Amino acid sequence: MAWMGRIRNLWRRDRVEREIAEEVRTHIEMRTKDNIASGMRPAQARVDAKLRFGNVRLMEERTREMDLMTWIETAGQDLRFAWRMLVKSPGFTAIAVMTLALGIGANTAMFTVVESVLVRPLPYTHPERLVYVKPAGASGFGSTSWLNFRDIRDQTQRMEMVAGYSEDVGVVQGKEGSVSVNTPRVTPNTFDMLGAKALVGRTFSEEEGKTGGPQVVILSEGLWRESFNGDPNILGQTVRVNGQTRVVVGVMPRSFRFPESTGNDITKALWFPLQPTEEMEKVRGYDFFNVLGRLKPGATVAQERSELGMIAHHIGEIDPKEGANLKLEVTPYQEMITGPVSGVFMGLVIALGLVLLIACANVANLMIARCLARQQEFAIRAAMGAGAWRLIRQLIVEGLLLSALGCAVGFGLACAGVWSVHQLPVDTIPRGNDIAVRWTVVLMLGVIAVVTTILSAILPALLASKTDPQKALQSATRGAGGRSLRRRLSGWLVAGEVALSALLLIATGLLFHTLWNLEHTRLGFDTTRVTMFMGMPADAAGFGNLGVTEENAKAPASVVTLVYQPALERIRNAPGVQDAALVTSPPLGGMNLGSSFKIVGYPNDAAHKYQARVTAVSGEYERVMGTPVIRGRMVTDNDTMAMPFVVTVNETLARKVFGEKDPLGQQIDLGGKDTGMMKPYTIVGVIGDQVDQSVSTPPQPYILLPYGQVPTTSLYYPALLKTIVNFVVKTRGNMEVAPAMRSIFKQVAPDFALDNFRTMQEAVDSSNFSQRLGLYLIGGFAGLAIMMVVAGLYGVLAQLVSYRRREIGLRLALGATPGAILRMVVRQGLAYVGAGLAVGIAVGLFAGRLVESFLYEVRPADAWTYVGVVIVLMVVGSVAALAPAMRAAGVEPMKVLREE
Amino acid sequence: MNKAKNDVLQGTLGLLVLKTLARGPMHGYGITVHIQRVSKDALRVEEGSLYPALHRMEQEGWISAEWGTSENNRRARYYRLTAKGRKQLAEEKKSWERLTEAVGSLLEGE
Repeated sequence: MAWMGRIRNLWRRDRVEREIAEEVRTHIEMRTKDNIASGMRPAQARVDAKLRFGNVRLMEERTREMDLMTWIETAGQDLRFAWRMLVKSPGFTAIAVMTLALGIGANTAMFTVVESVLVRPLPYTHPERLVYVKPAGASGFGSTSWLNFRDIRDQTQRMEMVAGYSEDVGVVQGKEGSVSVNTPRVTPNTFDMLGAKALVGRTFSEEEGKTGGPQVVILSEGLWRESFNGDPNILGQTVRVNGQTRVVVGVMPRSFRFPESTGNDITKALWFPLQPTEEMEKVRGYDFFNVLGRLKPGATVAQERSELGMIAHHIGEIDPKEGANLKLEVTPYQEMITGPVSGVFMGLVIALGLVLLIACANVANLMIARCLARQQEFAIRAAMGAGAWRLIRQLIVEGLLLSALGCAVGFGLACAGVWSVHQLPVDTIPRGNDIAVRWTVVLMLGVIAVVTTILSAILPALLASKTDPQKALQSATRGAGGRSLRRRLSGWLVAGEVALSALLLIATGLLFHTLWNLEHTRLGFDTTRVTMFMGMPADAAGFGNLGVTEENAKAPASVVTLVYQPALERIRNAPGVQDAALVTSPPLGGMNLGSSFKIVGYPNDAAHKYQARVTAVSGEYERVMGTPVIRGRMVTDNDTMAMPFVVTVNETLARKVFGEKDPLGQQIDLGGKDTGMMKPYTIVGVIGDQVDQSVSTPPQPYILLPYGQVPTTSLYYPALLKTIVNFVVKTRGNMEVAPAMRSIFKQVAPDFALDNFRTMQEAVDSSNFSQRLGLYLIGGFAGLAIMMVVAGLYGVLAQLVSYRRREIGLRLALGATPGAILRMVVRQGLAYVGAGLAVGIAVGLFAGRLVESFLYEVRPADAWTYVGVVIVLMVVGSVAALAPAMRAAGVEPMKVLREE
Repeated sequence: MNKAKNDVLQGTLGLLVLKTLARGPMHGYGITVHIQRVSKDALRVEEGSLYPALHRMEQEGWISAEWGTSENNRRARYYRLTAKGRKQLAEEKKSWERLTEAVGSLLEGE
């Protein structure tokens, strides 16, 4: 293995040099001795010996050069030869390169996304030690209360820092009008914990995080530049947020995107210091607070979990009424952010791995086919004395060249893929902005290239090396049949390809069935010509500022009578508008205001405390949405403060709370003194269920309060009516709603920020977006896989037919009908497909459980899917087999036999 | 500088070395001495070229080398012809013969 020797020498330069030096020394000494023997004086003898050698250094140099030169020379020879071979069969080369490029490109793009989103640490100090604490079982970024946060912070031994935040929204008065922005409230130590520095000014001080502390604000770079023209003297200026003035103390750089859960809007947010309100200090069940901590060095998440168990237990002891059942859960922060997509990504990585394997199998098959065609060439070369290694090396160099070409094209495809990822709607993928091709990706490309070379070239190469020149030369002239190892291997490869594509097809089928189910789910509302949009008062209360006004204080006038009613009146009378209504949390509106409630007359214990989503609605809501009222009536605009307090509930609530009993006439208690909802509400109707958070999750209990009956003194008033409300408008034709709405609000309430106009159909589509995207991607991969299978199967069968021409001719001569020959070849093809299918389905049944979480009302062992996959692959197999089979049937016996 | 006339012709060094080694393993100095002696001083191996050539032939796999002890107990590297080298020798010999034949007939034709 001279090649290896040379490479080794390149590294072991020292040893080689020492050997050369020693050899030269020996040589000179021998010559000196001989010179003396022939009569020279010793000194002269030595000089002569040295002179004859010339420049020893130069000689050594030349010896070393020989190493590198021969290496480059032979490598160059191999490459040139490989290139010539590839150029000689452009069809083969094009197919092989494209096959590899598709596999490599897709994998590289996927790896880029995975690396950027899942693997790369968050841009904070010690990101690996950041953990998120939430009540056990809470979905997503579950929140707890300020009091629980305080107790966790004070009692923890394992976390070196505990910070908290609550997400909120508000309206800021910029240089050019009102803008609605995210206004997270954070504890001052948040910035320290994350290691974030202000771009301008400073972050919050301890003092600013206390009740009654200075009213300050930090702007995001985006907001600063867009709404304040990047004013360099912004520090110390006051800005109006939610109708209050606040002093700007700092600007955070664009790279600061905390809290990540806010999504891309955070780039235009502003931050308030969290100043605990009276409610927060009082009510342990006031769950509005997100808790983040940094573990001490060496502490593990498991340790923290057990510590939180103890803290929760302790909280239960000091506050048995509210904290008795508290259970806390801790998760690494990065996992919180990427958790929702990691499953999808892993699924896609697996799918693409399969595509790459299929691509390699196909290229391997092509190479094997070519080896067969080049058998004579190999045989001649072997007969001429080329060693087995030399032939293997030649094939590996060809494979490497193919892989390199595939990588080059694939890299282009990957860049296109990454570009298209950036075209996805914002916030489809967490950390989407960070996605970029980096050196790790290029490294990965290298790894993939090596893998593809090994998979696609080594096998054929090893087979070629087994060539027995004599036999090959003989059989090549005779075109003899017989089951060679090589042909059987091609068959296995095709069966393997079928198995892999069966897996992809199964995934496609399951996702397709899921999407079909989702699109045909009873939404509970009609999406036709309904537009929804968001409105925010300029003096928005914000969710973090909720409070109950003192009982005897004079109730302020409601925004309902001041703004919403007149606005709705105008909207309903606007041209083209059929119906319009206000609703705080519409279906798929992204708002989820929940509350606990009790039923008047039921026992006052934990078992009779229920949870529901709460919304305020105007009249006509059910007409706009086309949702049926099942019993009783819907609340209307006539249900005002002067009338008896009433609510409508949804079917799920009626069923969960009352079962078979009649819900009408029952009274709901929404908290009394704690919340300011002093009077109970009588249930007057039941409305049909609507999907709420997403199409694929079951509806939750839902309470619809008439917007005229939310007391302005209650906690519900700022939450339901003074922070964000939504309007739903049903139009007569397809029309753009936004301009008309903006002009109406300009007259009624110019400070209102209107935002987020979208049709209900858009809301539904975006809710199903991830499934749809998954279906398109996996479906696309499956299509690719099928094309490769067709090519592979066709290739193998065509090969088989040309290999067995003589045998087929003989059969025909002996009386076989062309039909029988046709069936024979198709049967052979379907045997490969059948074997592959059996394996693919077996693996699919086992692996189906992995995708279960993406399925909606589809079992992993979905019969439709499996039947469909079998039919598709059988049809595909038959089609691929048909052409070679016809060729076989068309063999002319006399001609073939005469060729003998 | 005009090279000594009896320096080994470019390209024939390999053939000479292979041929020399066909007689049996030998060290570098021995090869020079042998070529000089057998050619009755007509051919002289330039020592500065010998070792690079040997090294290259070793890399090509025509010869193999190992350290041994010389007749007067000095450590020396001994070169041995491999099977591949034997084939190479036959080839080079053939092409040399073709060359001399061609040159010979050309000269005679004049």
